[in-house]
Amino acid sequence: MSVRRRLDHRDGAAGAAFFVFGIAFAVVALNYPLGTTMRMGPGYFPVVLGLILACLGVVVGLGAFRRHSVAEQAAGSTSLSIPKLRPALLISASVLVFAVAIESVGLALATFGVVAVSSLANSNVRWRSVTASGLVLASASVVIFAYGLRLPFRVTPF
Amino acid sequence: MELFSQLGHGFEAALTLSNLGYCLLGVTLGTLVGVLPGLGPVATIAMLLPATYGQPPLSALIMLAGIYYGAQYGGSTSAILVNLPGESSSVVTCLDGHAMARKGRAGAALGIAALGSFFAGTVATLLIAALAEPLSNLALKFGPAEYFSLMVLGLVAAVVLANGSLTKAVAMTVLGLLLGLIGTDVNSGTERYSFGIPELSDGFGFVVVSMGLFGIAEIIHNLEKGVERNVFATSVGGIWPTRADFKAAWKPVLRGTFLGSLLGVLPGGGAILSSFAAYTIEKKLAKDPSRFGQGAIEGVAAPESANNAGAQTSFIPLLTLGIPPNAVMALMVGAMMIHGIVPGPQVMTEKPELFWGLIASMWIGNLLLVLLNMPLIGIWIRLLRVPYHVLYPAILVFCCIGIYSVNQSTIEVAFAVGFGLLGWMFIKLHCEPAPLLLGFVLGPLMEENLRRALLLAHGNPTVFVTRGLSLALLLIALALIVILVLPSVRKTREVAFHED
Repeated sequence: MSVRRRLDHRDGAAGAAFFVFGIAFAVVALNYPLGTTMRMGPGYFPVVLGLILACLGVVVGLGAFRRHSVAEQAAGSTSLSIPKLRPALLISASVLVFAVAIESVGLALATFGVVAVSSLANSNVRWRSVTASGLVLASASVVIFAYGLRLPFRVTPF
Repeated sequence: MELFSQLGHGFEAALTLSNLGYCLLGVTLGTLVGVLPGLGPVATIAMLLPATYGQPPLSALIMLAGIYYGAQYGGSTSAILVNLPGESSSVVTCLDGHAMARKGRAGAALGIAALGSFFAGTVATLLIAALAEPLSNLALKFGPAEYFSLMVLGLVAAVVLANGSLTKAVAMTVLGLLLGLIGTDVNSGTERYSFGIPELSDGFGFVVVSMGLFGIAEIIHNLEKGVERNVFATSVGGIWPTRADFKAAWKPVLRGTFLGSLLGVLPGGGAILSSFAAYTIEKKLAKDPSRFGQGAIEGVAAPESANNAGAQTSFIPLLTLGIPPNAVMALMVGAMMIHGIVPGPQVMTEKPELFWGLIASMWIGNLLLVLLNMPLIGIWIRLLRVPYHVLYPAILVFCCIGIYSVNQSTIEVAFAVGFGLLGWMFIKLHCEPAPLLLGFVLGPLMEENLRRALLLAHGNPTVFVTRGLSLALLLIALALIVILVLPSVRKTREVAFHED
């Protein structure tokens, strides 16, 4: 089997992420009393785990340089493509809309907001069907959660 | 036989009208999320956790458990008809199940999957009932050192059985452990990593983390890559398998059940690995392995029995030891906590009705699934035609409502967005989120038991290897690692997980 050397960007990025997380957790934990092995303080366990995570990050990162078999390369691209940000942004925004709307204008409008904003993430939005499913879901969630399960929600803005 | 009288009491508790209703609701919802790709049992159970506040504890657990094993049934339906695994444990079912469907034998494939699953579920239920008592008695002898070692074993197994890179899985587990430590330290009262945010003094909520990682992240990922599906259902054919089908399938069902039951008990194991292993074994044993992938009924019967058996027996570590072996069981811990039940060996003695009622409900649920699945196949097919762009806003709405209703906290909804983006990043980097969730649940428990064990041993770390039970658990963990590092096993593992 012929082997080719190619940098695995996924492993490189994942390793870097783990390294950063590990160091960050360890550094913050240094502010808490460490204690001794017998009587561990609140900082002991997180410092140790943070350092372990940082080391694992290095191992994962170094794995990016290993040789990939042809089969592995065929199975999936090792390079990261540029992420499409539209779904990530709009889905996040729609959930945040809910967070803002639920206490100020109530469940019905919050639900409608989630449907409207999240639907924008889809490449061909059809406004009629979005309005329809927004209305259906808003009334369904009010009936199921506010009246059926009696969860304490503000339902309407009034 | 004490066992049967206890099971009898369990059936009494589970067969009340309302509990039957909850069981039916659970398995129906489970089938639904199993059929629909893009929404798994983890996200569904997380969504419904808050809704179980008002229910009696037994009804809540019956419903949530039903969602889990119901999803195993539903997953096979979309695997066979659409060639898309609705649930990750149905990945291998796609191979031969869909090939059978193309030959016009979708009905037989669905039928054998349902009947095999039912058989496996029955055996696994009996196994849980039989093993519960001895294991609980053993667990009562556990001290902090044993608990710590057990959790090490659990995490090691979770890593070994995770798919993809090992080092990444270990790192995800450690990250999960660290995230679990956020909040007030029980021993000293120090707030860790809360940065003065009052909502963080109790740490991140379980629902917030799981909903973000499994719900929101999945939606973003699906939209980014674009989801398309093709429903293949021109003619389903007869549901009842022929005599020849039964003849070919009964042995694979038995082997699959056995394998699934075994792997399900292992922490971190459960449905996914057992279905892969069962498929591999059948292919090895077959006289003519070339039939596999072309619509061999064994290739449907064995993995479907295995994943259902594995799903059921993964309740064993939770119910007897109080340790969740996978992400769904971790959610069950959350559900029990909501109702003030501390999972562990004492549940069996203190709440026998709850314990045996839940076990009995699993068998009832499996029966309901067969009754539900065989005639209602047409409805599930229609559901498969619901396009994703209609489906995902609905999933998001339920996620939002689920997170918010836990604590009536808007900031937790915002935290979930953070975990959603984190989860999306992990998907892109090929890091599996399940070990993280397991670490997140076990983190605080592990630290507490480690600290307590060392305190009791006057700081002597050898306590973990001088106590017999603890040593045994650590040795099993070590053995798992050693086996995995062996080149031949490594290769098989890569092949087995290649389909993903």
